[in-house]
Amino acid sequence: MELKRTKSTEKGILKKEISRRDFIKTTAMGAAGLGIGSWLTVPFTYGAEPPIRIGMFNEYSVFATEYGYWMGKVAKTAVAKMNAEGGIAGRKIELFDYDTKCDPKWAASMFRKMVLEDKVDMVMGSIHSGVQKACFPLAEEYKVPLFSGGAMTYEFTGKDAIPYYIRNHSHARSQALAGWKWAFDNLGKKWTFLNADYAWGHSLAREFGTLIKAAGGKTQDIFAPPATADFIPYLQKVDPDTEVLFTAFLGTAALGVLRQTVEIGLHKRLQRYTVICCTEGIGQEVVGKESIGAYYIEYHPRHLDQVPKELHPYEMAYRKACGVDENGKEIGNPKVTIAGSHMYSMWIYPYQIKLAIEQTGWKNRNNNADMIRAIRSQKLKAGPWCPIGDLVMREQDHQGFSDFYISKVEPDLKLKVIERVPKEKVMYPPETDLTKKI
Amino acid sequence: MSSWKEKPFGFTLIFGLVILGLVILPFFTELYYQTFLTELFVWILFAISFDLIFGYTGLLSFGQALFFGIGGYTITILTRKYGLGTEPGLLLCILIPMVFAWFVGYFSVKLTGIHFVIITIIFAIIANIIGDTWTSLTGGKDGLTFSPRPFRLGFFQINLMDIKGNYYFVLAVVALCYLILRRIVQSPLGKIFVSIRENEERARLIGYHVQRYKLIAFIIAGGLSGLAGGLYSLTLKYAGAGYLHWSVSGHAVVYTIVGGMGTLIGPVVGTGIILSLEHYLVNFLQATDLVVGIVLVVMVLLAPKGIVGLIQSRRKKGKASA
Repeated sequence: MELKRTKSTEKGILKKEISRRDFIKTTAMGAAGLGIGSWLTVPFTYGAEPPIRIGMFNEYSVFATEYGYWMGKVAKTAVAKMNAEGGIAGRKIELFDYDTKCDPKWAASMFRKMVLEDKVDMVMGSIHSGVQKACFPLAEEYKVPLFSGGAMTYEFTGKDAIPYYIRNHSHARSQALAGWKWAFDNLGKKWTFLNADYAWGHSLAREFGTLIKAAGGKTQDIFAPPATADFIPYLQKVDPDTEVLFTAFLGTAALGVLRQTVEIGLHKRLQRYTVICCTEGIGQEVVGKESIGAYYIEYHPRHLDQVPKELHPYEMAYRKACGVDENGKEIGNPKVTIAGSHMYSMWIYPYQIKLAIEQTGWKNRNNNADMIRAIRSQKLKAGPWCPIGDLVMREQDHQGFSDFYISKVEPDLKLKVIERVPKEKVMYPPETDLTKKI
Repeated sequence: MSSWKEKPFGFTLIFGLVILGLVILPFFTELYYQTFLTELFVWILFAISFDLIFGYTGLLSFGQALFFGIGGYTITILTRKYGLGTEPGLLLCILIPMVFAWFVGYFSVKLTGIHFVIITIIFAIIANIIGDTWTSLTGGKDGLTFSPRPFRLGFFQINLMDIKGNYYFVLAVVALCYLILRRIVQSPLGKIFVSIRENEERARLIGYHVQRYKLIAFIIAGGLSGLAGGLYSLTLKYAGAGYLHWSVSGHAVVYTIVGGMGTLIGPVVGTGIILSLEHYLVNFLQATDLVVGIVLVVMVLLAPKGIVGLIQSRRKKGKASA
């Protein structure tokens, strides 16, 4: 039976009649109570300036989710820690987090949403270079800094650089500069590149190949579809005199290529070399024993005992805060391995932003140019907010430089660092001068 | 009593009111909603162009992404590398995809059913691979960025770098395309498309060259999909190989099925509902695609003719019982 809304039924339900005066009095008291209650629970000073809003997007679905998981987790941890320590210039930091879906179109929409609807002051994240490129025009249009999570296209801080883009991590060119010389001297002078047939794979082959050939070495390029399952047809094309087989694939293909080199016995007559991006976020036990003896270029060691001694205190604190154990596994979930060579960028950016804001007196988005100018000239010393060691930003192209590591997979499947490459060795001449633009 | 569809004045009035509402809307909304609606208009154009080939002609094409992507690349490459203006650029966004549609359609329309679906997917996959690997032209996976030039028509000029200017420009183009498509589907040509959808054999026996008419529908839809791609690139100032991926065609399929195929208003409604839902849900959860998937399943089960189809059949039932 339908209940008709009448005065008498309201009275029946509420047991007494409500007069207009009662209503106004109760509402006013409730509002006052809520106001006082919320004021008491706010951790920041009443009357403080509005929060600093940081937008973030990462790959949480579709592909490269192991990166997205760690990038997001580290950023949230860093922001929570910073807020607990008083925020930035007394202002709370708010993080707005979205999935890129590995889709530049969607990510560009999210970038717009963050800037125009969520009113973020800056955006960080994503390892997807297409996502970053799609957001370049928007970052310039809205004058909102875009901090790269882990995009490896070197041109982003080279000929395609824009003033509102900042990158504190490695890319294809710096990886080549870090990794070629030691391997050329110690592993061999005749190289074959078996890489994924898309921009990243081509970029690595080109950057390493140029250096190898310039030093008098010999190179061969083989490209296979990124999702190749059977590498035997490609491995059969490897020149018989090859001394170093450099591979670059992501996901299951990265595991497959290492395993199949063992299946056909190639690992006995040549050295296998790759970048950690290929198996980042994947435990070496998943890659398998077939990876034993392979060499990796790491941008920050996965295992705590491989981190340089002087960085241990910072590294331990950083790992503890992010819930990571000494073997690079998530505490309480040992099946999850860190994306240790990438996720540090999201730990350091909030600190870089903090320093820049405090240095320039930044108030809001209108001061973003000042913030960019401050960040690009930063020279960070190793510390709790920079556990990877010293980080130098370069003014001309907004590119950051830090140390690299060359590691070998030991019989116990541990990535043992055998060479530390100082950042000075990976600094190449800048290809652009953004100081003239901003 | 006839429906508003059959009354030109009724349609003109409703269409005019909607356009008027959309014209004054930017004065009351924030910039973000203007950019959202601009994207919505682009996807509406893509969906109604797909509806011509699917809803009216009965051909489920997953190759529309190919024309969308080519349209996007056309305006981007011509502006970026050759300094071409927006006006000839947009014209070529229609013409070049039409040429590709003629080529793809020439082979595809000879096939029917699942074979047609597969061949259109294959063409889109080939285009996507070319887009991914021909880096010097397409920018590969990273794509290409550019700065759109103002749109000029005599003394009239629209700054496409301005959010509001871009909004009005895209609204005008999409509204015009809607009217053109409406004219097409109501013309004898449109009736032939429907007759092919309803009974291909009968259309052939009556004397229509079925393949030719399918090809015509395919080329028109290809040209409009290309224009949608061009407008999208103008809006984002970016084009990438991802535009060419066959799954982009899936957007149009979803919007059309949810809204109601074979009714131009259906894809408009479907696009509006799905995009609004996605952009609302993204504030609460990451897996928006999951919800869209559930909506699609529910719609297919409960209203196979889509929302507009459901409303139309209810009205027919009401009239019949009256």
